[in-house]
Amino acid sequence: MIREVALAAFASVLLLFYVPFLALGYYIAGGGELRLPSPSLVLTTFGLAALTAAVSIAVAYPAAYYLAKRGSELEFALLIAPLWVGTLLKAYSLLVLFAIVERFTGVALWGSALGVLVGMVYEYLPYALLTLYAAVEKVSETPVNAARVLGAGRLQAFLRVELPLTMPGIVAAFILIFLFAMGEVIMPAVLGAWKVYTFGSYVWDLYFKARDIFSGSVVSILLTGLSLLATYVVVRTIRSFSI
Amino acid sequence: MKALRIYTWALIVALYVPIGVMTLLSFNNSKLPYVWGGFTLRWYEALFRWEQAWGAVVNSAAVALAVAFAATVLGVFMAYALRSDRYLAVSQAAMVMPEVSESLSFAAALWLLKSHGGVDLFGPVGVFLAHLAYTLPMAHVLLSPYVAYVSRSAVEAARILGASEARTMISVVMPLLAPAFVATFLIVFANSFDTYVKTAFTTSPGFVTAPILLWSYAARGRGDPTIYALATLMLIPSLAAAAIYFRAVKRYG
Repeated sequence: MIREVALAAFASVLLLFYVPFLALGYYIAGGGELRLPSPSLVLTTFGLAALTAAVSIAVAYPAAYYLAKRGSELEFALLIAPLWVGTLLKAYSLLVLFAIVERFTGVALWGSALGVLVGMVYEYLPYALLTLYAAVEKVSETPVNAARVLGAGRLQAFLRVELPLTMPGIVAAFILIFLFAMGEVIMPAVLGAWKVYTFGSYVWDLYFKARDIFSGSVVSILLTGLSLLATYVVVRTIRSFSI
Repeated sequence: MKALRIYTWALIVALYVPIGVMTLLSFNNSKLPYVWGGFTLRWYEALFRWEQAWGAVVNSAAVALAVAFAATVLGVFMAYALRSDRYLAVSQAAMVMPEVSESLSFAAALWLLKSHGGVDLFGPVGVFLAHLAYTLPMAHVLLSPYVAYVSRSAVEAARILGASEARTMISVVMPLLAPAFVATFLIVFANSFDTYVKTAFTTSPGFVTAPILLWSYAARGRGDPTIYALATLMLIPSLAAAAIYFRAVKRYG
């Protein structure tokens, strides 16, 4: 009984995810004109997502390293807790902060790509922290000690032994954040003031402004496909570097 | 290591500055964010008098409670039913789908049902379904490691002593899973409470939730102390969920 209930619930949820594919049938049957996004829009989204992932990893790595080696439970909890705060709340609080920053320093972050980047890094930092923490914790001390005994400095041992060993974690964090950031809607809309136009905003407009759910569905499938393709390319490239 | 420690704490401070500033400003007796006019509670009073805002918070809380309850119960069932290796691929799919797929697909699903099936699923029911569809895989992923902890012998003992499958589930598995249950319930609640995108796609104009109301101010870049107060109130479930989650996990580990 329990198994049937569980499987039925699960099947209906999974089916929901595949419903957009039905929209493809509409176009195959010659239903209407498909509105595809412009290449420059795709490029902006890819660039912003990749930059978000790279900056998040760069900012999170030292803290994750510290957490894995010497960190206390409190520090861990404090760093991960923002994961539970909703994106919209984060965006709104940053909006307020940007207004104060603009007043005192004259730097206008609201409506700029930099502001969106700050917001997205703020949002995805806990994901980077968790993934990198797991990766650093797994690396054993033995190879590092071996490098130290053989005469490597602390920095050299880190750069040539530990960093390559945590490379899988870095790749995982990059992909995770990249996939999330590709479909981001809230940060570009709130902090970019609709001036920073991304793939997510485009799908949004197709649904809400153009009321064209068929194009919207197909474009969102396209986005999923593109981000998976990009992930594959990233994995291939980084793997060739690390070995 | 000392430098790293300072860096880590600087990062912690930076993470809490935006939220902290907003909370502080909700007590600020001045309409301008960069002028401190003294401590006041009048924005909270204004929020209490603003019926639409209250209605929105109540709507959000009701939907989140229902979703958290349904997702946790179904999540335990799923984690229990799918724990054998035979269903490993299905479990993995559960983990990957919400991450890979766009949230927008729910909207398409509901829209298609409405336009071609003749069933209107927008409003409270639509929001509930969309949130459930998005949190159920999450609950499954969160609960399955804990379900794996429940030893086979306890389940088998209950079955041999004549308990039915449902009875075993309620009297043996559920009590053992209580901490995980609480943690998952809270995570799902917090997630459902402040999800905007899924709500926006499935709600009807008559059904306003707290994130929808917040969005109507945020998307225009409007700062309003009453909204700061609303946002501060919306922080409470999230941070409470985080705190209780860490305690539950600690006790289990």
